[in-house]
Amino acid sequence: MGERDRLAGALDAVLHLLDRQVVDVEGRLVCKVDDVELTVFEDGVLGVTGLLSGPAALVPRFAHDGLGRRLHDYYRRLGGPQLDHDDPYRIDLELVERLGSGVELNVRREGVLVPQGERGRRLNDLLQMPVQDLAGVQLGGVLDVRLEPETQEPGRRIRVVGLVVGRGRPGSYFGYDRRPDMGPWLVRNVVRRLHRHSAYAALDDLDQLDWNAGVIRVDPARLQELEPA
Amino acid sequence: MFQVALGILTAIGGFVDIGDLVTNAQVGARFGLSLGWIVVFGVIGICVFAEMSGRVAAVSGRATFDLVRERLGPRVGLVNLVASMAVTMLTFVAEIGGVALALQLVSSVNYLLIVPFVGFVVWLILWRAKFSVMENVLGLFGLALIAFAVALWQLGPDWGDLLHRMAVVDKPGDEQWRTLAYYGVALFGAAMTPYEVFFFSSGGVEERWTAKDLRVMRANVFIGFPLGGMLSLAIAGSAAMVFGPLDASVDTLGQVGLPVAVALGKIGLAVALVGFVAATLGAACECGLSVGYSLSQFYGWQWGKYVKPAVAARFHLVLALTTILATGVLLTKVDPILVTEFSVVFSAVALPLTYFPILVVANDPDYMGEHANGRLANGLGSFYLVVIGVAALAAIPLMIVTRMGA
Repeated sequence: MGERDRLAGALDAVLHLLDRQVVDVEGRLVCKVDDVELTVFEDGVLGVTGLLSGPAALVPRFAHDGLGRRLHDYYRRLGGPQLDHDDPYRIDLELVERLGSGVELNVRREGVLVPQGERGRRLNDLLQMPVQDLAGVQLGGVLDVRLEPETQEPGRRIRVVGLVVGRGRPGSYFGYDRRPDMGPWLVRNVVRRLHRHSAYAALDDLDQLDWNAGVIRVDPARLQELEPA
Repeated sequence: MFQVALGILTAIGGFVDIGDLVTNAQVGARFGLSLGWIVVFGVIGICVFAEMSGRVAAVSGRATFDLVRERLGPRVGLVNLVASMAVTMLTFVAEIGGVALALQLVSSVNYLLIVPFVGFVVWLILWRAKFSVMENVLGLFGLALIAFAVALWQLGPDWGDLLHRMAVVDKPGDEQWRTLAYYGVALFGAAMTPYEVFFFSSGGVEERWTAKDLRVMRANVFIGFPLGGMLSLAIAGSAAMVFGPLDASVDTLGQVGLPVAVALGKIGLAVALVGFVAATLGAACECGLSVGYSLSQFYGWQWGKYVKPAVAARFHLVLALTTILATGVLLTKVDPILVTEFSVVFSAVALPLTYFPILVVANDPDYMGEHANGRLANGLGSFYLVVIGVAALAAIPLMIVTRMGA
């Protein structure tokens, strides 16, 4: 496993955290990071508070329209009278020791997955929001979410600082945006060409982040060039 | 040193499976060694692919379907999982059928009666046997297939002519180019079967490889696989010597072994049959495990034989259900040789799905640190990405226009 702890510095949620293997303190496998729980803190900061897992977290990720929505409907139908059927399992961020090629917990896996209960915001909600300019013209979608740890009081938090905006699917950059030298030449050039319109939007520069309407608005003039995390 | 030698020997014995046996014998009988270069080409390809995935497994501790999920996400990843599992399942059916056919040659009992027994033995090995014991015992017995190399030598071919036929692109006068292309893709798929890489990378995690084991891993790959490829060529060469002049085709496992009987008599055939059983049984275990590995890695369940079955309960449930399903498919009286022919072609179709994410991750310094791909690995890696892509796109159209090489 890699030497450094990814959570110690800036990271990209989709590239470095989402879909990673969760491993317990004894090295036994627990689950995948099917989604990430986001919370708006009292001071208005948007941050990561937990990892979500299980079909209730995974199924909505297939898509928010068309086949994906129908898949989610079928999944709900299977649950029938079960109250918690659409309630994913949650692992609190406090239980995460470090993030290498997998997420390493500081506890044993027995009973570590507990129902989330009240539904919080999810990383996937952000990833499925369209990004528009001020006139409502489509700019693309959210390809990734930039996170940054915050060490000063009130305690350790991992906050959302910006979005990678572009066309295509979340994660379809494969990391080639962060590393202009990453090989092989053939793949790098094809991927970077496909993503030539991608840009970075700092969270503070967004004009609107509407969770209910599910839309993000940003002035294209405030988009920045994408820098590696 | 002993570990290295053992690893190489099991890599040789483990390289050949039912797909290699059948496809090489068929192609040898029909085209001589004129497609031998495809085997060489495919062996280099599997070396490139296996080395990359083995290196990623050793350095990051992540096996193939972890990476598929991490790089492609759940949506494309799921399509990938279903396709790869279907092909591996097809290969699993073919391998169990191969074991049963080999045992039929020994016992003269109809293979359908042997299939449930083989399925049970496979499940027992997957459930109870230690990983290293399974690997080493079956791999070493698989070395009995060297009987084919001895047979080829005894048949006394004109070696210069044999090598010349491999080096030039030509075909027998009465065959069409597209038929040749179809068998070329089939041979390529037989040499580069996806499960081999799932198994190899997951096996690296099972054996707890670290960056220190990279040299041993490379020795296994770069010495063991090419020597296994030589066995494939020996199968093709001896089939060419015996069946070529007769204009006969190979349709049964008995015919695959016939050149050995012609050259070496009963004893030779007996040794070859031991090789058949060990090679196909070993491959059956690897296929079964690969189905379990893929599904578990995709959903993050505990997998592997390095933990007790009770700790990896879902994984072992998948192994049991998979074995029952494969056995059930064979009991429908479907021809295992036909399943084999399908499995090698669909192997070629499914290959890019797992090759691409591994190529990307092998380059990612976040996972790999100083062990990321160098120029050579990337040069070969990119070249094979294109080749694998072309073979995958061409496979099904070729299958249709040649009516499976008829």
